[in-house]
Amino acid sequence: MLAALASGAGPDIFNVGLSSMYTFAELGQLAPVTSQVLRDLGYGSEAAFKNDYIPGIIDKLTYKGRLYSLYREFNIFGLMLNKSAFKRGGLDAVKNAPKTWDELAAVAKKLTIWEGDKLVQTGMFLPSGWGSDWTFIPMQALFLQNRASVLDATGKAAAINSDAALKTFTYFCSLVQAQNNAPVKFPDDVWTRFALGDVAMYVASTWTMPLLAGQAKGDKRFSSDSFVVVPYPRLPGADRVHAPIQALVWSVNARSASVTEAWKFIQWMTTGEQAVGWYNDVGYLLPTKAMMEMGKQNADVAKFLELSNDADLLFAHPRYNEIGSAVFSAWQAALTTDRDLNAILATAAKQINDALK
Amino acid sequence: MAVSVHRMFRRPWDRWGLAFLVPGLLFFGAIYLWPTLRTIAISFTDYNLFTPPRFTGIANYATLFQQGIFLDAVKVTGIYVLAIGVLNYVLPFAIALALASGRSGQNLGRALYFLPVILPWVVVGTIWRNFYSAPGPIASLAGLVGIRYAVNPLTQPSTALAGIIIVALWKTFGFYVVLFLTGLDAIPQAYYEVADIDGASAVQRFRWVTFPLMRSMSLFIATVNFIGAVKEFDPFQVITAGGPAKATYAATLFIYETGFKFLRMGRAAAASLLLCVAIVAVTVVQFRIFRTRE
Repeated sequence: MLAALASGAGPDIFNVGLSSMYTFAELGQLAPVTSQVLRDLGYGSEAAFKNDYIPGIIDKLTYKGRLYSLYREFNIFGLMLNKSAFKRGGLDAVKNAPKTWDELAAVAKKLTIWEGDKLVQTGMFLPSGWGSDWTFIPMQALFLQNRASVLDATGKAAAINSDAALKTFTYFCSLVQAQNNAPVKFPDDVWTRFALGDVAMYVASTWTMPLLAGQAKGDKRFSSDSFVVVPYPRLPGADRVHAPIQALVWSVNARSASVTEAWKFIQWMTTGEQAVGWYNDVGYLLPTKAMMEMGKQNADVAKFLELSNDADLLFAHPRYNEIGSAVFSAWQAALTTDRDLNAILATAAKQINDALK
Repeated sequence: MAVSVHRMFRRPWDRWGLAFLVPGLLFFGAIYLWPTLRTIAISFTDYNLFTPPRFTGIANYATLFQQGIFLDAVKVTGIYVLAIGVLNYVLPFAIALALASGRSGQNLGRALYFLPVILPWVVVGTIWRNFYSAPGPIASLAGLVGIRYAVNPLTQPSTALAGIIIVALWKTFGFYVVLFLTGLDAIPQAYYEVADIDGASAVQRFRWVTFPLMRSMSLFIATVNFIGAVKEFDPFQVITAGGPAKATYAATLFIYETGFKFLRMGRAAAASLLLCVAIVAVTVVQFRIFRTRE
């Protein structure tokens, strides 16, 4: 996409992660949602437009004071527990759902079952090979509860090598070790494995149940009755949970000859029947008040919406590609090697500082 | 000098010959020379594709050598090239010799070994990711013979590169089998007949007839194999995307990500040129080794 935009061959409309939006906006490649655009879309004012969305959420789509995108996906994550896997480990998914990180580690250890060399069941699956977003999704809650941050308060230097970050990485390493390194065994088909009970706990969002329904082929183990959705655990004394929200957005090419039409098309896609169809088919919810109300009517979705008040959008930055890559590499190294965590985080900090130059 | 130039064009049609060269030279200039010169120029700048390049001297080269990540990527490429360079020479040569000795199965052998060569890397990557998964086909086969295979090697930093090397061998060695067979076919039978009359053993036939007469083909294969291995990008991107923990993060992947993901075209250009210099240097050495012996 960057190469296409640089060569002037970029599309009129494109779908990117929130962080990429910052990157494109900084490079001057996005057409802003101006007052005129909002009027063209039928809004009398910016306030009227924002009023369609849950409070404060549109402000996340601004960069240097200008609005650049509209939401395409707004995925609030929680933990999903497999009832049968809990039962196999002698636990009850409702009663024994972990509420603290120590409980999560203890439950994960108990639910990881080996028969000799054969892994029967993984307690908690931690994705380690799916890129930056899927590093922050399992990590963010504890990371922020520990008051760790990727960058320091000035935003001009890395803070990934802080004691708080080290504490977070140490926890996840110990979680992997407690499970005898089981979590890295299912990198590709983890959702199927989770539904079949080979994985007891995993992160999930509003799109998880439609995804599993698509794989079910009549197998009742894929139905929502088989699972329990709970919030991420909370450290004693933590201000709140900081559940992750992954956002994807629609943007318009600044060089498009049809900016107004492009925004109208995006509005058409993200409202009315189209938005509802998008939600019904794949479970992607938009953060409009209307769709949030609709989501509350569906028990599977409502569980995730309850988590939204205690949630934060994933880390985003105009240099996210480089910074996220450094954090992702550190995460992979921490989970899959015996290398010293201090050294791993120092390397990541060096890469991040280089990215910020 | 003027005289020699005059002599070069002494026949009227010689000048037409030059004119006919112009399209080729223009093509070469536009497709090879200009991009190469531009890459050299960009390597001395800070350039993000969207704003004009800013001259930074040798800063990009200095950063590459200060950045552990680039040197680690070069190390990954080095291990890969060494493994592929040796195995993709020995293995195809051995198979070609076996096929050449049994004429009846040669065509079938060529077809079978060549089949993976025509498959796209995306297909090969998908196939082998499934093969490697645990539980999976390889795990099942290993279990049948009592070998423990509990972890997908592609998910472990200590084994991921070996996993890719095996896939790359499977995918490419058929091409070299065919080349070796072509070379073997070109050796006149008379040499072998003379060797037989002299009472040469199979090993002596190989040492004194086959191997020396395959030297030109060996040079070609070693060069093509080496350059191909250094430039390899697809398996690292398709199979492991450079992971886990950068264990398969090859220099080509570094160049791609640095340039097109991180928008540091100057640094990517500098890394490309260093890789290019390494390719030329090793190729020159290869030529010297084989030529000296010839």
